[in-house]
Amino acid sequence: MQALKDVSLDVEVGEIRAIIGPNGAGKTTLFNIINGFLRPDSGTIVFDGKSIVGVRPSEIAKRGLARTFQIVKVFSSLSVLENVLAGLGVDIYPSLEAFQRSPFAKEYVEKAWKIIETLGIEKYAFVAAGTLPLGLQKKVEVARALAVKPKLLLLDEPVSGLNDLETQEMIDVVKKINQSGVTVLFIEHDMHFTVNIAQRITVLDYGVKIAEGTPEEITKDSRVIEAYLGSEEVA
Amino acid sequence: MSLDYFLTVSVFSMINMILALSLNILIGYAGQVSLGHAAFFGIGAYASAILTVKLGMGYWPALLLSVFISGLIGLLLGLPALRVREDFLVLATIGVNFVVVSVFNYVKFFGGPYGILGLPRPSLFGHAFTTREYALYVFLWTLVVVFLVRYLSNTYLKLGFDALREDEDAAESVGVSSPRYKMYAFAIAGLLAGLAGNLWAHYMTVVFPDNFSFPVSIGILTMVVIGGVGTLIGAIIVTILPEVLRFARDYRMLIYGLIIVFTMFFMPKGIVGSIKGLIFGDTPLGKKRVEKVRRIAGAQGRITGR
Repeated sequence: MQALKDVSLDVEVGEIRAIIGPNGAGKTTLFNIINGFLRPDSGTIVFDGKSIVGVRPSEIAKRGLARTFQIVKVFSSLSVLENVLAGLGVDIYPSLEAFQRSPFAKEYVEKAWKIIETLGIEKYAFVAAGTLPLGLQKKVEVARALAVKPKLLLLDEPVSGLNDLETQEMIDVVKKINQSGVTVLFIEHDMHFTVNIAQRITVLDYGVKIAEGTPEEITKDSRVIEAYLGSEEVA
Repeated sequence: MSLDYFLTVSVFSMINMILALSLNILIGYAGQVSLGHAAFFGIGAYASAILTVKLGMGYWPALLLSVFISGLIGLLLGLPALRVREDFLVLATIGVNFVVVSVFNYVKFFGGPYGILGLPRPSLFGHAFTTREYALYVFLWTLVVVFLVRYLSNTYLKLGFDALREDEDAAESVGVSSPRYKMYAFAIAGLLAGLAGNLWAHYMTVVFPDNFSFPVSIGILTMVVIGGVGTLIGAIIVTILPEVLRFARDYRMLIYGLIIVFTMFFMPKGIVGSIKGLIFGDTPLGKKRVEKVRRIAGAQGRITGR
């Protein structure tokens, strides 16, 4: 079975790009291919001028590509602070410095704290991440991903399951991250969130790219409406 | 209670402590459940036995070499962990234990069921260690191992292990290569278990295959579980258990089983871990670390507290 077919995607440095599409369109598969969890049968992925096909996910992270997960994967039994400190170790893990450097050294704790403040989760810094409600766990994941110092940040459904207030907070956070120079590529079903922050939207359906453009163009595109709601006569 | 008995019990307890610390790195830190830890213990013991008795090597070079060999074999036997996870890894490590014991039992070079006899006690400046001196020697090694593990607990290596244990995909996403960190865990655990094997073999001066059979692995696991997976202090306190249970020799496995089930049900953090939780509250970070972080972040006037 093919989850994706001939998908071509160009994400510009500095933009916020959304990928939308009905369930099973292959959005998460695309993310898993970009960050190295899955290997594409054919095609190329160029990140920052270099091909990353066949490169380990950990190495891709080191080159500046961070991500969050659709079903949150925080380090549950670790504190929020340690989750962020874990992200800051991205350059250290592969070298022998891992045997020497302490995550609790001043420089790392300071950096981690700054990120925790960006997300506004200082209150929970010492709490086990797994005990937090979903909205906060999503923020912890974003904080951990930011600690990797990404050039490109992949967010897999950052606001699914969040209430309106939490969604608004996530909009502010993602805008702030983008303004600091991080390119953002995200998957989302929430159209309020998507239309609010995406500069361009790519639409997938059954593993094929069916449309691409600005939010205004996409919301008017007949193929997109068809993919979501069925053919026009019915709508 | 004679002094000799006391010394023997102490030596066994200290060796158990090294074994528990070693297995704790695999299970408690890296989340790689191994039910065949006695194999690594045995490899250290047999390597040293062969080097000293069969090849006539002195104790000290044999110590270095046997520990190195155990680490290396730990690394090799850790390779299945790169392919299998969780319950399958448990089965694979049990298999490794049986294979290693069978090799000791049936390959002539390893002495068969009658083992290898006549291992030398170490000597310094021509003076062979007495039992008392040997106990002290084991004590020094135990200290070294405790401090080493303590040191490693405070490094990015440990955080990499934590990440791996919590979620392999998430670990990869922050730059922790799961094969690399699994290999680290198996190599370090192999080194330490090999050291324990060496210390044990040269105390007993004989090694038999049965000393390293599957029930021994269960005993080591029990120590780790009761002590509290991932905690250092727990591993230290409960190592005396096999000795306390010596009177019930025939029922030891039964008692181990009951203790494991009881601990898993009522004290999932282990006895020591649970008591710590009661006293210090449920925080994943130690109190000292929280204080330190508050100091660092607070110095910039930015902490809002808990």
